[in-house]
Amino acid sequence: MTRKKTYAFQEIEQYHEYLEIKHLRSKNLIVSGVFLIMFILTISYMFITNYPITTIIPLSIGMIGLLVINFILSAYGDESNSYLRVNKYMSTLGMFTMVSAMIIIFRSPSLIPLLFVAYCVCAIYQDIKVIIISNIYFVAAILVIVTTFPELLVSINVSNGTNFSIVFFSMLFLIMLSVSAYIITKEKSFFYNQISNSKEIEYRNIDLLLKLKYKSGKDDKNYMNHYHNANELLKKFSELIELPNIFEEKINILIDLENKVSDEEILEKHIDFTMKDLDRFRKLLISNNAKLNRIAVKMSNTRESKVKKREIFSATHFKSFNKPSESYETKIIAFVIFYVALKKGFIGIDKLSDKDIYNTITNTDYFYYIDSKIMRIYQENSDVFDAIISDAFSKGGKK
Amino acid sequence: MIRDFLNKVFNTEFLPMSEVRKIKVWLVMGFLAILTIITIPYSAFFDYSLAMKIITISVLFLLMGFMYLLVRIKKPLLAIQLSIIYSILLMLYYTQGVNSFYAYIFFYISLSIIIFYQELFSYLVYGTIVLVVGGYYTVAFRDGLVTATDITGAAYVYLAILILFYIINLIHILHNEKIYTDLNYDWVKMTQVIHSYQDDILYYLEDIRQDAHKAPIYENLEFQKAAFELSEFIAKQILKDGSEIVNLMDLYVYIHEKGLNNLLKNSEISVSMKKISNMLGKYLLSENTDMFSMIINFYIRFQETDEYKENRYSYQIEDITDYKDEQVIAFCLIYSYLTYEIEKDKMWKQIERLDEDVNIFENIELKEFFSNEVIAFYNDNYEMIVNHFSEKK
Repeated sequence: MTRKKTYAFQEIEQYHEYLEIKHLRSKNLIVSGVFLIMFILTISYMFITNYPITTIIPLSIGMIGLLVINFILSAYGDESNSYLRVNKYMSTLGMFTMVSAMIIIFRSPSLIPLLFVAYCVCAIYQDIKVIIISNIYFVAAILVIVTTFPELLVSINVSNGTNFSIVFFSMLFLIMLSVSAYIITKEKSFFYNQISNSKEIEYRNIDLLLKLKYKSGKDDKNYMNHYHNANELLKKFSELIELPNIFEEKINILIDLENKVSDEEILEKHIDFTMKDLDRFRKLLISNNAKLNRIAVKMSNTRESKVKKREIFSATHFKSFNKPSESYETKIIAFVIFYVALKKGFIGIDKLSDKDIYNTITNTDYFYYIDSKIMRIYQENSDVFDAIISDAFSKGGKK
Repeated sequence: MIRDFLNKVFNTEFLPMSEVRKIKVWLVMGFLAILTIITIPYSAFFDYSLAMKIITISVLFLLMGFMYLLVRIKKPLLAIQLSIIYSILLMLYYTQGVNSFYAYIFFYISLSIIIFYQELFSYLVYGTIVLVVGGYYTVAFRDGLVTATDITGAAYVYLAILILFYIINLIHILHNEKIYTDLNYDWVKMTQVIHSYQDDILYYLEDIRQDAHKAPIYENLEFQKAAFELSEFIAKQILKDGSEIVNLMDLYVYIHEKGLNNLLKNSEISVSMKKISNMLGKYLLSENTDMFSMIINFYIRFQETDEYKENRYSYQIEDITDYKDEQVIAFCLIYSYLTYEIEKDKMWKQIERLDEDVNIFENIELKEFFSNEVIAFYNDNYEMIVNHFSEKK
């Protein structure tokens, strides 16, 4: 088995986590809702069928307890994300415990399928650890039923099969559920990773764009005009609302910062401001790769984008050299051009080392953007690739 | 082959939906094949005649072969539908053959297979069929499920749990659909914006290259030599006639010389060649193509960047400053910047609507960048702002 690949950017892990937590809240809500419905149905059934109150109360306490724990942990989730994470494991364990308790209390095979229901409710979390906990609990519950309560299965084995058949079919079904939950969890990860990856790509593309803009001499030489324009507009606005102009001093500080006036000098002129204020103002500069500058670049480029509904459901935005609709010839050419272009480099961008290129192609998500046969040839013959490149490039690639 | 498949399964998070769909079909096929094989000895318990048993099992295996064929000829969507129908047929075979818990389990198995594909339409159609059949079976054949000592209304407990299972999975699918549609929207939007950045990046790179008086990379002889030799080396190991790839590489270089649009318009060029050219169009180096994008996205990995901070991907002014007056200043600076950028575009790109006033915030969701107070400032003083910057042009 080849070793696990990673995404090209390490920064995406934090955003991936943010997306997980963001959606975990709604998942918690769904799980709690389903559990509440199960609670209402069970207790209603017990009352209708005249179960003794001594049986109803302990079960109700258990179920209400689980709901309360769920509610408290969700509420504390606003303070710390770890409460939300604990909540999903608590809910999984609680759900299976309550279902097992119901099977034992009612002593009816009709309640065994509740284990399937519990599994599906917990699968909503789309979490590998939850799947593992569910699997262990499911197997344990089936084994306990078979060994401790064999009388439960007698009724469903009258015509055919043995306890072994029940266990076998249940396990087969569990495998199906596990594989299903596993792949669905991975699908979710794919989306989260793509979004996180795009965020980082966007961030770094803005960096590169600003760098190249400056390098090519196309940067905004008249950026000071923006401060004058803003100042004049806000002066008009202050006159209109008949209040003193509170903006001018701050704009003047921004102009001073653009003019590289020293911090001490600025603070001497504007005594009401501190170093902390200046640090904040630096982010509000419209030039020099400042935060506001990046926002302006993003807005400028967002103007040109318009998402059509059909694009949301197409996969055309996924870029790869491994599209099933393309012939092997096209895939080979795409990979070769990509590889040689990286080796050759573009004027204006720093050249990459052979090691960096090889490691990134073979150990990150790029591995899956290239056809597996082509990738295998590349991995097995990387020295041949290097020799061909060295021979073709008169100066040889950068080592 | 199995190793490759397992490798794909364990790394599904890197694969696009089309690939995952194929993996799902293979997995379901494997599962159904196991079930069908188990069904052969288990058929001994069924009430059918021997001929019926042989015919059913044979038909199931035939369907399995047909499913395999559909995946091989790259028709996974049809294979998905067939695998669902297959599971329903298997379920019916069990329900009509035995009156027991095993048949009941098959309703769950069929539903799980349908859920696995996570497609709302399939679930609503096939899932509902399974639920209706399951409901009917549970009530009509309750004697096979419920014993005399069972709890009161056991048959209805079976039914209620099946309905609950169906509803929970429906909620799961709807919730996923909602999340994935939103995420896809964000993804497409970001892809478009990144494409726009890369338009500018290409433009600046071209400018730098021209200033350096260098030829484009695709015209560089060293680049061409390396590309020709490497493609031939790979092609000889994969294709029957590897040397053919050289002609395709020639075409690739030729497209750069003539331009893709000119080539597609040329009536003397065959339809098949135009088709191949169009396919290669995505990988040109002279335009902002998928190839250019993937190269740039590879390069930026090695670019120095700031350390990760919590608001790294936030473009909201409120995350820079809490002071409303500073937010208004930031708004005015951005407005001025955008006005300048649009005027520059009009001049450089010679936009047709030269004299028309364009909406500065066209296609921009202001809430993504500004607080409600700043948006209110813009709306309340719209005319004054527009007039002020019109005078400044």
